[in-house]
Amino acid sequence: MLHCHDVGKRFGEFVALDNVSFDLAGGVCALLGPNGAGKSTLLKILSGLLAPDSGEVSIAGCNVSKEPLRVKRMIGVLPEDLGVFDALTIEEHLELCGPVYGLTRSETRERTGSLLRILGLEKGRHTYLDQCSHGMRKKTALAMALLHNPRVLLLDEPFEGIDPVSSVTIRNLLIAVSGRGIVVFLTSHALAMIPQLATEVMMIRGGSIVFHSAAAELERPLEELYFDLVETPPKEDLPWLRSALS
Amino acid sequence: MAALRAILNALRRAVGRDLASSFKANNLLFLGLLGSSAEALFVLLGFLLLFPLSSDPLGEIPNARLALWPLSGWQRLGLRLASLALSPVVWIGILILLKTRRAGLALAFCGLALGMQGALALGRYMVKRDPHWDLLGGIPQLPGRLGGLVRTNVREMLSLLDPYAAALLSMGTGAYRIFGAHPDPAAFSIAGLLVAMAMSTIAQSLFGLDLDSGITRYRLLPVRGWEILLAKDIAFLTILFVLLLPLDPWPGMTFGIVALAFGHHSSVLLELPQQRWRFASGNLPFGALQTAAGMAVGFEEHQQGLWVLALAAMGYIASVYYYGRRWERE
Repeated sequence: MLHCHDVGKRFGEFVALDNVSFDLAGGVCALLGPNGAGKSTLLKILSGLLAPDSGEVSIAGCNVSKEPLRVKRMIGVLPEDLGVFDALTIEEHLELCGPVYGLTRSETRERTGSLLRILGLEKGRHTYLDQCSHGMRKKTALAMALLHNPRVLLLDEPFEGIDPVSSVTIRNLLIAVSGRGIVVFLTSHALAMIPQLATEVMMIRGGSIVFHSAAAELERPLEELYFDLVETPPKEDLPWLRSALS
Repeated sequence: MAALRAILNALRRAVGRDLASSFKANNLLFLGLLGSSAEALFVLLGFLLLFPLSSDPLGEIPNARLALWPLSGWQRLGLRLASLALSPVVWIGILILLKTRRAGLALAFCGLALGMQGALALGRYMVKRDPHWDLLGGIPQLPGRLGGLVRTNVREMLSLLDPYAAALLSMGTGAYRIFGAHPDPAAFSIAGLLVAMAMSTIAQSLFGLDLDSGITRYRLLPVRGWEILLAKDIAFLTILFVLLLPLDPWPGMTFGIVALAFGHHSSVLLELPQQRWRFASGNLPFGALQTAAGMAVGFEEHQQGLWVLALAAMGYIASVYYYGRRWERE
């Protein structure tokens, strides 16, 4: 369903992605890595927001660069900057998207109602996005990604800034939709959430995939693997940070 | 004292940047070419500019941050008093006092600015209490696939000061039409062109209020580049048409169509970010070209009739298609 072959991307001298290749047939794939490792760049390339310097990406057999409109109809994306408009309310964002993706007015209204309910946005549905908390903005963007029933979901940090109840709701929702054949590809820093959610785990460091395995086949705890393969926490202390009384 | 100095320095920088954003290249500056006959128009624009200029300089600091800083009551009072010196309204008030030696006039000016801020605060309070007071929120979604995009753009454009300057011009000429003893019919065409000119800087920067987040959404939606431009243009032309209704609409609409045809170039290829509740800021040489072309073709429409508008519309269609393709490639 999601095919990524030898994708490379540079920003000047900086190598953001170095020949990244993988295939996803289904399930939930979590991409883990530190800030600046290339997670968001990869997600932008998969969703067609950024053109790769080399390699190719296809979704359900459609090349992302050559058939952008067909691909856009098939994917639901939660981008890094959320892709929301400050001048619209939460509900109006969904009203905007429905017709653009070919939904009828009644379909849009019905799906909007259920998405707002499940994501806990019903109370603030008439709030402008520039007056919403980061979590509400993120949930609005997630609702926009789900509204048109996409075949592939590409989510950049879906759990960052989200309250615990909504996190569990989103996790359960993603597990449910992947069980119904929708491919989910997400980036995350929430290591604790991943074992309960992902069927595949990938780790990226310096633009290269350094680990790719089925989640069920992990031989060690995810956190341990991550610290070994991707990034070790620094040991340096800040001795000047102390109580003035001591 | 060091803490106050640091805060005031930061405030000075923020106010300076804010001021710079209030006085950028807007096509209304070309009204200056009309000489002294444009004085009344500049007074109207100055009135509108007072809204952003009269805001509290201390408002540049987020409330929570200000409350968290470990400042004593005296320091807070000092900050409040010192921040007044950063208000452009106080500078203008002092200038009026020095120039006219009439303290009453300077105080009346400051009072007007204060009254404007009071009215704005009252407006915000009313909207918070009852959302029905939110006039921009009442704009309905237009039917069709692009209806939501058109609504977004109408709201964004109405959050700039340009349509309000155009509205003042339109209302002024409309009043002349109703109450004037023998109104000159040509005046309505000319006023229509000025109304379109007042709006035209927005056409230079159709993505200016979308910021990165809005542009990302446009890139993700399954719509062609020309459709995105068309949704923005429909919003622009709808506002313009409403403003032109009390006048002779067609020369102004012709100007608007030409302004959009030119404006697609800068909208797609130049980055011209805009700030809400300020006049739109454009590119001066490009704005001169846009204004000259809009005026010439609009005036020609006034002279020759609607076929000039039809010709301008054909040029517009070519522009929307070409720059739509460019948008997809960018």
